Amino acid sequence: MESHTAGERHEATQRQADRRTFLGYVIAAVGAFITTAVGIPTVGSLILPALRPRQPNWVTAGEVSDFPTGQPKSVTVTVSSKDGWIEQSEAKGIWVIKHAEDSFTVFNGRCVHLGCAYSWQQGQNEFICPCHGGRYSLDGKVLGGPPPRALDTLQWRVDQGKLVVQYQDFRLGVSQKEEA
Amino acid sequence: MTALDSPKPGSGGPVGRLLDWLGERSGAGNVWDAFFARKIPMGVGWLYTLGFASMFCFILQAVTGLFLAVYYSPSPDHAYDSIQFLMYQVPFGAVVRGIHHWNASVMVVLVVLHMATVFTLGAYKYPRELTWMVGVGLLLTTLGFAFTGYLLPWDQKAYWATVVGTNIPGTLPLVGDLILRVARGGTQLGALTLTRFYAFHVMLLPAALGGLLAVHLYLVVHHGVSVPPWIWERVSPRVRGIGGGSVAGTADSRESYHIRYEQAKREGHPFWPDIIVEDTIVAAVVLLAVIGLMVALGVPTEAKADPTDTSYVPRPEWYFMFLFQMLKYFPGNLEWVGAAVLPPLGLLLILLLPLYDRSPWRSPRRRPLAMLAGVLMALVIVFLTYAAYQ
Repeated sequence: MESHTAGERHEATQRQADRRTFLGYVIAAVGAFITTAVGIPTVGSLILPALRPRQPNWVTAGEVSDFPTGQPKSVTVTVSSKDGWIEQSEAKGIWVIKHAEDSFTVFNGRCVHLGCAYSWQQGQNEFICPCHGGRYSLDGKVLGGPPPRALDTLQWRVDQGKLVVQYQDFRLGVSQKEEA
Repeated sequence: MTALDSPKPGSGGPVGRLLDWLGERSGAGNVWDAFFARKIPMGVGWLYTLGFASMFCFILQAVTGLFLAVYYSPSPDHAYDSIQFLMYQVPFGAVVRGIHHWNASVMVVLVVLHMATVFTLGAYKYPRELTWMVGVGLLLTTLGFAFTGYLLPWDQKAYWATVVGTNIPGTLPLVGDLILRVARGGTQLGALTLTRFYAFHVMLLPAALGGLLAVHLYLVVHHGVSVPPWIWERVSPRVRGIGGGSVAGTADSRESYHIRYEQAKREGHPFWPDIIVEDTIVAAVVLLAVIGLMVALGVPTEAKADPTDTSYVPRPEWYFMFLFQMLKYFPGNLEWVGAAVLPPLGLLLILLLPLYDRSPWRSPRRRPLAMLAGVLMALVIVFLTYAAYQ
């Protein structure tokens, strides 16, 4: 009789423990649902916009006829960019070399060493950066000084007689051309 | 029960061992015992989940608010555009704002319902008078969040409702002008108003609510959850004033209260997992309701604030509508009575309720006067809100 009572007591304790474990699982499951339902939109709103690729920035550099053949020409283009909800326009320098009516080379106007503005030296037939003495040939190859790679070329197209350039900045001071 | 022998979730296995290690080093077992292993008296059911549901709303507001702050710019030049950017350019941005917007309304509803339940069950009586008063502070802070929050989008509703809202205390004699200037940061509603509303909304009020909530929770744990009046009709000893003792000649005494309360606790359920499972389910239902409201009614956007607009009819959010309507019944020169005297007076009545309602009865059937006053107050608020929408 006594052992039967003890067995019953044991069974009741076991049932109680099972019930507690089950309720623990229910709490964990509902808690996980709440965390997921709130976590996905909130964390998503924080992370996803930061991973968005940059929108290409196509700007008009000028009429094709404005560019002398075989001669580098410095052009200042106005690049509009969106910084979140703020629209801004920035003046950026590029160098355009016309080879033919439908053939161009366009360089980003920043020296790939540390970002100074370089210029074409007619007498020396070289691009020279005044900051640290970087030297480039007409086709952008490094002739001397600290620049780790050739000048950054930009994509271009001719649209209704106008030269249109995709302005882009690249990482400075590295040997590979990588998007900034 | 000590920290070592109390049952905890996840005991056993590597996770359990890690928790045990952390528990021993941090003393978290004591917190576990105090908060989760405590017993809740018999008779406590779903009605008692409203407090937890209100707290869940606050946590949800804090979490979504934190992510809104990532994109929000508190200046009249950028506030509106930054919200438009969040709504239409940021993935899930509209969802995060939608949850924050609708949860604000749900939080007001739940806080008021929680209060109405505590009132009806007479749970504000001995020894929980201070818990009630801190709770009234929490209600005020919640309304403060609501008021400072809706200026932030800097749209038409935000701008004009705040013009009216800050003009209301401005009608007070003597101090009105000072209050209006302090509220706006000057005479005009503009950049200085927006930054101070923002600072209050994201810094001062969360700190205030967090602090009050900590005290409220401490008191809830310290005194234990009240036994419902259908089990215990008359539990509070008569208390004379704030510092007084029991009234001579009554059967109740503090000692008998505590003895009976301990008995009720012994016959009750452990907070973990019996009660918290109900709280968690209610929290999930609240979240689903908020998402449902957002899906059904959308995330409101208005035109950008235009201080020169003469056609816009400013209307506050629904929870301030009764105040808005009440002003219509006061003639111009007495408007300040309806605007700045009656609401604080009503709040004071609610705040001090446990100090002047000293009857020992907790059952609503034995408190006809209190129940009549409570129902009347609720009816007036409902009627004024209804009339405002007609």
